[in-house]
Amino acid sequence: MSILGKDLFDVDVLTADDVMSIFQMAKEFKESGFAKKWTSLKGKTICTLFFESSTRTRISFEIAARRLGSDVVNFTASTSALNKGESFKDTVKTLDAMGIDLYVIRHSEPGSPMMLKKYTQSLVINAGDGIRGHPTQAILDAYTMWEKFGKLEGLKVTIVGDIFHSRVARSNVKLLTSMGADVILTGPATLIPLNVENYGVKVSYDVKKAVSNSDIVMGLRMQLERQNSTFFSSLDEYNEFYGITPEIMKYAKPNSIFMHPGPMNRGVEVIESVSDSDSSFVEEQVKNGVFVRMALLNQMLGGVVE
Amino acid sequence: MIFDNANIFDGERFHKGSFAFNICFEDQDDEKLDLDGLWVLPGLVDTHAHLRDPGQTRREDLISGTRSAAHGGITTVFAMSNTTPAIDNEAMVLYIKEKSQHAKVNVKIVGALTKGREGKELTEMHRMARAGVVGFSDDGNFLNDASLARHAMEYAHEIDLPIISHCQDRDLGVGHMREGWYSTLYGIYAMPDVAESIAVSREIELSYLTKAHVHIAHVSTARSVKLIRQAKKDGINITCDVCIHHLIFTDEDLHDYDTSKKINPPFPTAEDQIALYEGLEDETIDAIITDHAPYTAEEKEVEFQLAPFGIIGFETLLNEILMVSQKGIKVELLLKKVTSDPAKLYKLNEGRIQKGLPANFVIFDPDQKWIVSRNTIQSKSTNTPFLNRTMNGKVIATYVNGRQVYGNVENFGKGILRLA
Repeated sequence: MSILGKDLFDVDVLTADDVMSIFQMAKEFKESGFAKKWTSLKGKTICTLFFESSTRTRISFEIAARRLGSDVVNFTASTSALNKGESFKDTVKTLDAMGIDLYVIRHSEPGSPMMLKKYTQSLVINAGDGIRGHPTQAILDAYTMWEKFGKLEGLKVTIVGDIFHSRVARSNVKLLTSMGADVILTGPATLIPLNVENYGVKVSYDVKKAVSNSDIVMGLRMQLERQNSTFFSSLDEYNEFYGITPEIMKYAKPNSIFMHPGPMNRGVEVIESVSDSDSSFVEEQVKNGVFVRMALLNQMLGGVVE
Repeated sequence: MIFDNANIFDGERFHKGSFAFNICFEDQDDEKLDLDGLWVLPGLVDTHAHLRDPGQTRREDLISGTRSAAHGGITTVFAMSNTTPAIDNEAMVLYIKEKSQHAKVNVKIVGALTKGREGKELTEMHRMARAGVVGFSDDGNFLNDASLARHAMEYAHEIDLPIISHCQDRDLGVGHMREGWYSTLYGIYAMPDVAESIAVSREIELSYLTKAHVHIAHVSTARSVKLIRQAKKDGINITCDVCIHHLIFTDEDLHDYDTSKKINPPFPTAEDQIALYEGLEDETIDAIITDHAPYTAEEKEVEFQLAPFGIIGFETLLNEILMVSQKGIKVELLLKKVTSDPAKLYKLNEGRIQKGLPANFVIFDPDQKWIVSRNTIQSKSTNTPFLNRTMNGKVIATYVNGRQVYGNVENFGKGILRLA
């Protein structure tokens, strides 16, 4: 339980042992099924602090927290005092005065979880900060791969699409390379950030070559809302050259799987015959998200599972 | 008054000896003070600062800004044009001149190049020159219109004043740090190095065309230094400076998203920083500036990408020079770049300890420590990465025209300074 009392700003705070310990606990929770309720976090209050819209991540955290017996309060920017001009700092100080044990924060600005930590003694989980990081998504993705293949080391993972605007890709790359997987990034050159090779990954602009012999093909949502200039000419052309199709999936290993952090733009980065196929693990990822987050919350807050 | 046993930096080099006030001005007092090895420096000349007066006086004003400068050993500051309203006409220049009569140190004024710094219409450059501006600049707004920039340079050449250019392509120069591995890692939208060097090349070409003296402000990339070095070899009338903070911090240092490290141009990569050192050593870079840019705590206590660009710099300038000297750059060279070199660059009659020059000088103790805090900072703003850090080296006293504007004898400390 070495993540006890630590913040989760990004995956690089985790050791390989921490990751395996989270996986084992998530597996145990998963084996107990959705019906079982726990009381290990009874008396704790978890606040989801969402300055950017989200459905699956917020709900996933809320379900995870409640299943461990914790109280949950939700703060979303659209219903908050932020609209009245209250600053981030004031909002956090106000909430902090009400006795929160752990914050789950999502924000459009990178570094915001660390900024939150300046105003609170409570624990902080980053649930996505701008284009920087989304550690819980990376952990649940890695868990999904580990569960399917029984290991991470030596797996070939190809991540396709809008890497530049993707916090999921950034956290995944860090975690997967640290756990010994081989990661390849592919997409149009305009959407591959500078010097990504420094992560210890390979880059290819040819999707077919990149996908060849992969165990996992991961699509990313084309983040149209973050794009303020021209990164590609048309969605139609993008889909033709970089979209994940059954034809592309044929280049991967026979037992390969398709993953996507969601929400998907069907017909843009992936077409339905892939996302709805048997090799698609998209719903499994969502399901695993609950158990992985239960394990994280439990270990960070020191819950004792009876 | 005679300072005995001092380490005197004359604007070029150090020598040990006595410093008699009557070197600089009429002084009959033959009282002797033993400085016990303290440094005597010419008053520093900072040719790029933001005093925020008028219009932004919650951040700084002429009095607080020059008090801050005096605390840093700076006796002449250049006030940039980006006030509210901008310093873009003769009346504004005269107003600031009048107001700075009460300032602690000398204030020189940089007039705007275009009205309202909007890049559309030229200002009345002749009239502002008559009122005493030392150069022209739209500060952070790079003048995109090359045709207008050409005309501005033709005027500046005719008037014999430099244009100070913040080189940054308006389309590429968007973002909050330097683009590279660390911007990828930190997930911060970033600007590529060529956003600067593209603009530098245009200024070099226009200076070639117009023969105007174009001074490139705060260069921060290897490619800019290379272009300027070549332009100088080609005999083009280009000079440049570097911001002291860029010699200390790199893009990697933004790992904590501390908004007091957010500056424009952004901190260089480690490779670019080495090029800046090389540029100083081979004299491609003419001066070191602070780009003192105060912002209130409210403005800076926000998310990194939402925070304004700027760091205060007056009060830690000499400390930072000592830090850079520890990286292997000669301290004499660094001190020259904040004294005699900027004075020469702008034809100012100062920057040296020499008979006949104004008695602007600083007593500095390179060993005394102090803590940068709200209590010690004289500026209205505290947006510095050195806040709450212990600094090595302290300004003991600052003199402008023979008058002490910072410090008093008690500051010299018991035992450090004795009556001889």
